Amino acid sequence: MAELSEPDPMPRPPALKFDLLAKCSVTKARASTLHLPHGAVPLPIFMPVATQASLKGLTYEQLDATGCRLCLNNTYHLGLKPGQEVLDHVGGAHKFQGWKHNILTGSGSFQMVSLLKLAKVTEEGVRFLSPHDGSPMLLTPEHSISLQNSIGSDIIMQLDDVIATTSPDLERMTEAMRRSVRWLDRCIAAHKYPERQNLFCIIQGGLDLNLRQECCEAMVKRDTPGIAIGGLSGGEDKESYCKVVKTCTSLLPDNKPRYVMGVGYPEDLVVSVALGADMFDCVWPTRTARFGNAVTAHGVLNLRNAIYGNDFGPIEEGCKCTTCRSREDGGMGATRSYLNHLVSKETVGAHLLTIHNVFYQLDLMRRVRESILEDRFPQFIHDFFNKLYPHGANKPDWAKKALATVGIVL
Amino acid sequence: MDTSRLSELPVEMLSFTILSAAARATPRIGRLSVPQRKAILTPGFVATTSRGIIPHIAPDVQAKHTHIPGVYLPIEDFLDKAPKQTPPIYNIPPLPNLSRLRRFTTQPDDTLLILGLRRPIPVDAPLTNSNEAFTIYTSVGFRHEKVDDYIEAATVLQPDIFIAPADVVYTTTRSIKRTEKILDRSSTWLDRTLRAQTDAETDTPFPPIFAPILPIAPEQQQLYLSDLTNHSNISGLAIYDPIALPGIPDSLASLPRFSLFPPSSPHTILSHINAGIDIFTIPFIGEASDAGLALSFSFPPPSPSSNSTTPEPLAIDLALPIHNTSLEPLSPNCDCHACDTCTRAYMQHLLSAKEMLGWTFLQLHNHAIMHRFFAGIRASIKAGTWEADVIAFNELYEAELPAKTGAGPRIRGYQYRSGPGEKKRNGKGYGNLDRVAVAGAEVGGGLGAELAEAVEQQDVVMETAVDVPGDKIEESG
Repeated sequence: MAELSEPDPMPRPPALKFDLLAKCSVTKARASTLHLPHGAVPLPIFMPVATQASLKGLTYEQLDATGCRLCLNNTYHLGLKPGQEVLDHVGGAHKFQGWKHNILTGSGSFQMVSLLKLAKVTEEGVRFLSPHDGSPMLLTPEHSISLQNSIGSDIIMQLDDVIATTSPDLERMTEAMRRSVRWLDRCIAAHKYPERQNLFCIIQGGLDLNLRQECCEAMVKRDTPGIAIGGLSGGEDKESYCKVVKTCTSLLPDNKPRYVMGVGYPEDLVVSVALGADMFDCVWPTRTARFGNAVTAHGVLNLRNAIYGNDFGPIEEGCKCTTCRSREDGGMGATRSYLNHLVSKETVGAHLLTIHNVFYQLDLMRRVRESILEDRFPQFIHDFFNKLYPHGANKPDWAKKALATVGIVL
Repeated sequence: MDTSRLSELPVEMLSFTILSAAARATPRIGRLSVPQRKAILTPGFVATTSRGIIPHIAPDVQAKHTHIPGVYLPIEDFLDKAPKQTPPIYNIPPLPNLSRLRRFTTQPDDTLLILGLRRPIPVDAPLTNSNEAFTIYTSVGFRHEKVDDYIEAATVLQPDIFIAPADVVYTTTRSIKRTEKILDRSSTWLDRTLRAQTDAETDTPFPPIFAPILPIAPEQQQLYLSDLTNHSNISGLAIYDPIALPGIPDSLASLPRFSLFPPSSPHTILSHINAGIDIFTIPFIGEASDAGLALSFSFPPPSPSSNSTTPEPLAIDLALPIHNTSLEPLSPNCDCHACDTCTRAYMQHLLSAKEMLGWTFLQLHNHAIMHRFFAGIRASIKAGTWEADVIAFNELYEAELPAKTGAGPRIRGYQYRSGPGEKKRNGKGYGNLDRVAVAGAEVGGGLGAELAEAVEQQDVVMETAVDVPGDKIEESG
């Protein structure tokens, strides 16, 4: 198997500034501010996903009002529709969708897992058939970076070789990890605008901690402005997930943001922050909104359920999102009853729940950050889990175990 | 007289001022005002709603980015749970200055709320109305709603305007006997409504009543119309078909006329203004938005480009790929939130990706176009150029909106009733991958089979999810 060559590090300086403001005195949690080309972003952060240059019905003014300053677009989807030519013509994705704040783009490699049967990976790149017209396409590291350069996102991701973490094939896993490092070198070489777009590497290696260690060491040498931990959230058990995150964060430098890809359940976010991660994205809060589900501190409410038909309270008491806030407070004062009346019947039902869910996730991370800055994150974790699991005993084992490794006993 | 009691006299709940010469003369301009609500300048329009909201427009966006002065709300949109359970809208506790109807629907504070029986384009019912009830269609099916329950809803829900019940039949052919029934029932139902108003308690006052004008020829409803003149507490007229307008007695000429007849085009609106309509409901606004059409007409019309002999289209079809690199706003010289913030290229992308935001922006734009259309109409009437402007408008523009090419959001059960053997209205969510599977099979080899399997798996995933428009593409980061 091909060994890795010596790195060709990223040209400096990067298009970001990372201010580490505080570290939790017990866990590995960090609070920081990430200065990006389209404004400052507080970390830890949750980033909602606007796959096709639109956040599921929300106007960008409504998204702005949730407090979002960094959202995702998807390179794979934007490359197909509207296509690179249109993006070049209109001057990038910010202008295209009218979003003044930051954008992060995935490289399109996640789609290899989700559409694996449609794709074939070689050293050159990923071959697949366009879902729009069935024509054969090739996604190479160079092409992915070229697309992301056209998109103009503030953070761009390397193309990596993603395989399901649960794959038992160690040889294939090793190949994928090393290929991801080689592809990183090709991405760095192909990146046209390092002074205005930040290329993040993606640590691979499945659930094998030795592979993860090798990958961390190789990629840290490449000195990218930020580092992502990839290949997770693919159906692995949460204990393994937490081990991988903790192993990686222990090997990564302090002075760079750490992004765990595809994570979004509130308890996963809180535990992952305790394990030293800073950035997260997931489609779950916005997708589940369209199915009528609201995320709250006490768990997820399925508002399609008839029990909410005559429930005239807000989705969550005290929630400051535009949907829940009272009219006197400048909000809409929507009741659970009205959402029950709207969801899955009118698109506005999805809009209102999406506003709430995105706000909930962002607000959760805001409160996490505050608690780290004031060095009371351990107490925050206790309060958070007590609210979510009010009957003590049923707190999830994986969370107890993971938190125990960073000095918290639930 | 005790002066302290004077201040307790109710302020006038609704007033309609005709600003042009004589009430009888048309077209006319006027102003309908209700305390604490936006005034409706007439000729003007109110937006149509579905389940309490203007489709695709969240109430915060409505308040901030539209000029919409009022909305029409049909009671049938709120009665899914009846009669087994009391519908939640009747249970929600009202708050000070916040009626049940407004609180439940989250409609903005200053939006005028008009409560009526059925959706602006009602689904034709297989049931017939009875002496005591009219037919409605909810998300769970057809049923009868008791006239007395609907009348009671006026005081319970407290809309700003209440359309009195009428025995309206939505078919074109009807027997003479049926016509007699329509007259009998409508007249009885109106009497009951007016009696309920007289009997209403002061703490739950009865809202202003608009009396229905029936969708039959004026000569057939002569008696009914002359009966109306005996009632002093009718605040306006609800017009189900403009053919009846010439029969309105002179003594009722100064009442505002609110139309529930769906116009097919702006030309129809102009002719209905000539016939005497003051306030419109315009379902074609939402139909255009769903079809990906950005309305593009204005009144008075711009002068035609000298060398052009073909009429101008009434709308731009943004679903067409020719727009995909256009940096133009949806239509020139528009200051709506959509034209402010996005280009035709982005709109084309949203529509082709079936992203919900596309319909939101089109709704904002199309309502803004109609807002300016009516402002232009009022100015034209005031300036005395109306007749010439109408002729010029009809000459400049095509007669109908362009045919729809965009697929639009998924159609819901309560919006439409399918006939026997009819094709599915909503396309299959994952048709794209089916085509890929076919393409893959043509390529040959094992890949085709693998693709087919992937398609199958995708379909299983999608079947388990509740359909929401715009949810047809996997989200991912």
